[in-house]
This record gives sequence, C-alpha cells and structure tokens, in this order.
Amino acid sequence: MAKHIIILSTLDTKGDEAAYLKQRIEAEGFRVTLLDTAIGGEPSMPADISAKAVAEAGGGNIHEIRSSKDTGHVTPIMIKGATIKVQELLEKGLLDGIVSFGGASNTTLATSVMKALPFGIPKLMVSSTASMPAYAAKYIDTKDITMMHSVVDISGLNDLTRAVLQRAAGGICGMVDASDGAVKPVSESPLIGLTTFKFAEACSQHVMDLLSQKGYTVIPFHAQGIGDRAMEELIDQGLLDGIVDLVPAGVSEHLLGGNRDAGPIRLEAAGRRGIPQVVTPCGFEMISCGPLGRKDTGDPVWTRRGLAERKIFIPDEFRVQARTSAEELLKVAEVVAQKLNKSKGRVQFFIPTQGWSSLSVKGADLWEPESDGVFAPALREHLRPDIEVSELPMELNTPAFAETIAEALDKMIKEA
Amino acid sequence: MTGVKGVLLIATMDTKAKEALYLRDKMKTLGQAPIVMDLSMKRGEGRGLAEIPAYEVAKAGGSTLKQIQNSQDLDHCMKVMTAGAVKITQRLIRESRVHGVIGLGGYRGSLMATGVMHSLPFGFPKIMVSSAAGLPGLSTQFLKTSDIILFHSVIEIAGLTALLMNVLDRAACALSGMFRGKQVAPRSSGTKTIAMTMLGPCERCARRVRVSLEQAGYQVIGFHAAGIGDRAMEDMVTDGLFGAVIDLAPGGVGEHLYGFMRDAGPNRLESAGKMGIPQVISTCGVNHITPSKSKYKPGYGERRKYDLDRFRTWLRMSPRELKEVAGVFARKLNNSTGPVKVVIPLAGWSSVDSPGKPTYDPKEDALFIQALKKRLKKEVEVLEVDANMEDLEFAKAVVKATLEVLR
Repeated sequence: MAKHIIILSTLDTKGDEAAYLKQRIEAEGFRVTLLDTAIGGEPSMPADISAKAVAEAGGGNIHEIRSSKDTGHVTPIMIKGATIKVQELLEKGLLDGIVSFGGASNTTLATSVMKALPFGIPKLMVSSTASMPAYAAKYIDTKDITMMHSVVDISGLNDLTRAVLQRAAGGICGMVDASDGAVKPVSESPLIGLTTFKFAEACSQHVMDLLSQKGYTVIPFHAQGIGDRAMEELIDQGLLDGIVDLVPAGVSEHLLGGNRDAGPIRLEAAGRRGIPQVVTPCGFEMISCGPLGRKDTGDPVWTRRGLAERKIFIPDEFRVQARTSAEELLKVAEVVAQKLNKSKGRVQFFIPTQGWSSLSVKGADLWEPESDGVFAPALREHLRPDIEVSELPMELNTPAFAETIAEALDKMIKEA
Repeated sequence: MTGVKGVLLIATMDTKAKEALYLRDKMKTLGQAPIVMDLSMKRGEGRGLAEIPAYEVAKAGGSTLKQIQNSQDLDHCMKVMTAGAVKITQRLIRESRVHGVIGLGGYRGSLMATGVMHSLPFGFPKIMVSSAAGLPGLSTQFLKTSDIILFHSVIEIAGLTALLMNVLDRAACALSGMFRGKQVAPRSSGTKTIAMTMLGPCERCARRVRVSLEQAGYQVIGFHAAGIGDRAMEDMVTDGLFGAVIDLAPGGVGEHLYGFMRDAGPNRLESAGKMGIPQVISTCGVNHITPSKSKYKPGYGERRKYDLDRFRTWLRMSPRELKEVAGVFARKLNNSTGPVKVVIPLAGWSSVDSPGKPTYDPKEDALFIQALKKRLKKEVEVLEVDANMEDLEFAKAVVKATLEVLR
C-alpha cells in the first residue's frame, strides 16, 4: 500500500505552490493528504482536511478566526486543531511523513505541529526564515525536524521555487520510503541515556565502552541545554532504562543564567519514571557565557555575576566558560538535592574531588578546589539520607572514575 | 534510475568514523557513489579510512596536518580545514564526481561542513546532520544564506545505536530522494527574472506586483527581507541570476547601521547597482528599527512601537535616524551604474505603518524623503505616491516604474 505524506499548507495564498508539491510527491508514488491551516481566507483549491475542520478541532470557528485581527490569539487554535488532526491520521496509520513550507508564521505553526509527532517519523520544514536568529533554534528545539532553508520566499511558481519544492518532494519521499514509522524501544539490550560534553569526553567514552561490554546500549546526549532536555523527553516516553547523568550542568546553567540552560525540569524525568541514575557534578563548576562580545556590552549575566573578574576559559569567541563561585555552588547543591529527593528510583551521586571536568583539574583554567569543596557537604545536608554521595580522590576523566560509575549503574539496574 | 550520483560525505573521522562509514555504506546500498572527506584536526582511530584524508585537506588549505594538530588556535585551524575542503570540493564538482554533499557532526564538524556547503550554488543538494542544530544561534551560523537541509539528530553522533542509525538512514534516503525526479537547476535566465524583497507588512503589495509582472512575462523571485533572505539576494544578484531588482523592503540598510535584528550586512542595496541592472526601490520597514530586547537603549521603551510577534517589536525611527539612513541610501544608490527609481508611499510605508496605527507619522517620513532627494544624483528619480504601501494604487506605481526601468 502506498505510504501517506501530509502537506501542511495555507491554501488561501499558497494553493499553487501546494498543488505543485503534491503533484511532485504523487509522481513518486505516494498518497498526499492536504491539510489547510489558512486563517486569511477561502482556499484557492480544495483541501482533504479543511481549515474549517482544523479550527473546529482546535475549539474555534473559522469565520470568527478569519475576521479576527489578533493572530497571536488565533494561531494557537489552528496549531491545536492541526495537531489533533495529524495525531488522528497517525493513529489510523495514514501518516508516514509530514512536509510544510512557508515563511515566519507558517514555519512556527507547522513545526509546532511536527513537534507533537514521535521520533522517527520524517518531518520536513521548508522555510524562508529557517536561518533567522530570533527563530531558528525555536523551530527545531529538541525534535528530529529536518529544516530546509529555501532562501527564496515560496510565493509564486518560478524556476527557483520549483527547484526548492522539487528537492523537498524528493527529500520527504526518500525519507518516508526508508522509514518504518516511529522508533520503538528495542528490548534486546537495555538502553542507557548518558549526558556528556567536550570537557567530560574521556570519561564518557570510557563509561560507554564499559557499559557496552556489559551488554547495554548507550545513547549519548549533548548537555548543552537541548540534547539533555531531549533526553528528559525520551525518558518520559519510556525509551530509556537507566541514566548516567555525567553532565547535569543544565540545572546550574538554568539557575545562574548560562547558555546551557536546560529549563526548570531538568534532572527530574528519571526520578519521576523511577529508573536508576548515577549523577556527577560535572559542569556545575562553570558558567557558559559566550560569545565573548557580551563582556563589553553591559550584558546582564556578565554584569550581575561579575564574570569578567573570574577565572575564565576561552577556546573560541563563541564558547566562553567562567568559573562558578562557592556561593553559587551552595545554591546549586540545594536545587539538585530538591530534584533528586523526588526520585522514585535509586540514585547515586559521585564526586571526583580532583577535578569535575578537564577544565577544573590542577593547572587547568578553572581549577579552584576551595570552591568545589563546599559542594559535597551542602549536597549531603539537603539530600534524602538514602541517596548516597561518594567523594572519590581522583579526576573525572580517569578510567578509575568511569569504572566506578559504570559499575554502580550496572549494579542498580541488576538489583532493580 | 538517473544513474549513479557522486556524494561527498564530510565528517571528522577521528571521532565519528563508525557513524560516517555506516552512512557511506547506506549510500552505497541506495546506488550512490560516496566519497568520504576527513576534516579531523586530531589523531584518532578512523584516520586513513577516508578517500580524501585530513592531511590532503590541510595541505589544500595552505597548511599541514602536523601544524594543525600542534596548534592551540582552534578557530584558525577550522578556517584552514574549511578552506582546504572548499577547494577540493570545488574540484570534485568540476570533475563531475560529486552531485550532492552530506555532512555529519557536532558543533565544530557542522561549522566546517556547512562552511563548505556555503560555497556551493543554490539548487545543489546539501544535507547537514547535526547534533547541534537545535542550539540557539548555531543553526543560523550553519544555514546562513545557503539552501542547506539541516537535519537535527537530537542525539549525539557518537555510537551506532538504533536511534542514530534511524537518523542516518533517513538522511541518506533524503539525499538520494533529492536526486530522483528531474533536477531543476536554476537557469541564469537573466533579463526575464526579477528578484524582489518583501516582508509580511508589505505582502499584499508584493503579491500584486508579482502577479502583474508574471502576466507581463517576467518571473519574480521573492526574498524575505529580515536580514538573511535579503543578504542571499545580494549574493545571487552578484552571481548574475537576475535581470532586475525590486527592493520593496530595504530596511536591512538602517538595521546594519545600528546593528539590529534585520541587519543585512554592509553590501545591502549595492549589488544591483554594481551589476548595472535596473532597480526599483521602496521603503517598507525603513522607518522602523528592530533591536532585540537585550539591546534596548535608554528611551527605546518610550518610542512608538508595533509588536510584530512574540520575538520582534518594530520601534519608530527618530527624525535624526531617518535623515542619517537617507544619507546611506543616497550614497549606495549614487554608485549604481544601471537605472534606478525610488517609489515612496506618502500614507505609510507598510501595513504596520498605516493611518490609525501607533507608529504612523507621514510628517516625519517626509524628513527621509527630503534628505534622500537632496543627496541623490539627479539620474535617480524619486516618485511619491499618495497612498499606503499596501494600497492597490501603490502596487500599480511599482509595476509601472519597473516596466520603465526595464525598458
């Protein structure tokens, strides 16, 4: 049976362009379902799922929506409605991939709908605003969305827009052809989520090797505020069986205003789900505060925290790391403890006292053992007594430390 | 089957060899001919597995791998490797050995691989699988003004797990899908193709102008003038893709002067003049500034404003700024070697800026018009139309002016 590709479009102004995309996809042997999200007016061609039906599913009325001037209010209704319609198609087995095209408004709308679809379903957004600083990251966020920068506006069919739509059709058809739908948890070997970043690379590599040898499959997540947040979502979807939270820095960055901010709910999903976790303080000792230009422009984080006066690591102008103070670490310890105290599963906390990352070992740019030293007592003070805190007199990026945490996780999973 | 296509696969083999080789094998099973190019700057297990090894790339970039490995200046090394990779890629394309490019990497790998993609023409298939695609600020650096497909891997590209293989399969199939069907390479059709900048607040005007000119036998290519699309247009004008430019929304000029969100770089409003092709200029968004909230200076909070959406607020320009920007417009347009007409609506320069709206102020707009007229060379005609930018009458005036400069 032919697979189904959904085209999300605004048929009041983009009818010709949507028809062209539909024709190109059908020429590849796929079925197309055209879903209209236009709030501007009547469609110039019939949709399979009309804007009226979308509005109703979202709890609105298309005539009121069209006469409203308040796009900030009506767009969420259309997003909600389209999300519901798309989920219905997915449940009925009538959605194998989704594609949309447009400028700022439609990219926001369509990527919001795509975000509700599970990992593994091909999602292609063709956007003329893909590269705009204010939006780009928000469009993608933590999802496996494929973003195609159209460069030109998709308005009117001409040599360039046809070239873009032709490639988009090829891209989505190729992906859908290969896809088996949403990725399901593979039961053969338990899946472990591991957070990591540059300054913990040796340790994470070693932990991954050790756990693979023990028969686990380890999925690393980059702890820059997006990857680690994505891990929390996959935990909530029940895809992971254990966690090595090697770099929970998203928590401190959220608290202190750093770039790796992973939002208010980081370090909570594993506990909520009750899966075993080992945690280290890696990354708590630094604040990611690039680009360097912020230093001289009265940037609030730099000014308020006096970052210019601290120890600082500058590998390039974008990624700048300033040292966290003892006082800040006390606050971090308290928040980390609050989060871990809510855990339903087992938790063990390991602190490598001779350096939490490659940046804070003796001789490195952020070495400050007197500040690091305040963390362990504070953490113990706030943590539930049954959560063990172990201090190991070694650096994080050593085989011995990696072995200790890999074994601890293995033991907890086996005993669970 | 359209025949075997050569695909250049760009990766850092010191850390991502397993993943790159998986992707390479997948491409082979799809009937493509992959060539792996290694951009590693450190020693690692996967070196020696690439058809184009890192030392060749370093050499093409004017350095040696030894220098790169021993250097502490990562920024510089990345530039060298990217420059070398660009040279080799251009050669492979000239030799018809490469018809598409796919890259995989984290932050650094993505920066270097997309650096190569930026040097490739519009329409040439390019996919970047990146674990850093979702990071604020980075996807913009990766895409810039190039028609790249950015594929967010969500998980790290480290270890061949089921999730990552799923991502790599999809990416490989997307690229091979792009080869299927007929390839539409943009013709450099010249005179009959017109580039036009636009923004949401002049969308009706843009649509009317486009439809009228299409009826007259032209094709009109739209560019979103928010600092990226309009920059891309300048590049493509320089590449000789267009026969004329209708610049409805050149606000990127003032935004560059003050360093705000729609900043379209120092070359904005210059390429068409340099190429000597006809241009019609209007003023949508020119009388507003769009600083990001973190760049607000004292007094900005009190300015008349319009909230475009959650992220962007248009603030009314001050009279001093209007005059200053008019001076820059005149300087740039005076360098034009082709015909130029400026068409300005007297009842507001966009839908945001129309009678009844908080930022509407035709008296202050007149300061811009006066200053512009005073400084422009006499060959450049300034037409004032007693209408709003979004009125039918104004679109008609733009079309008329365009047909005149094209003559």
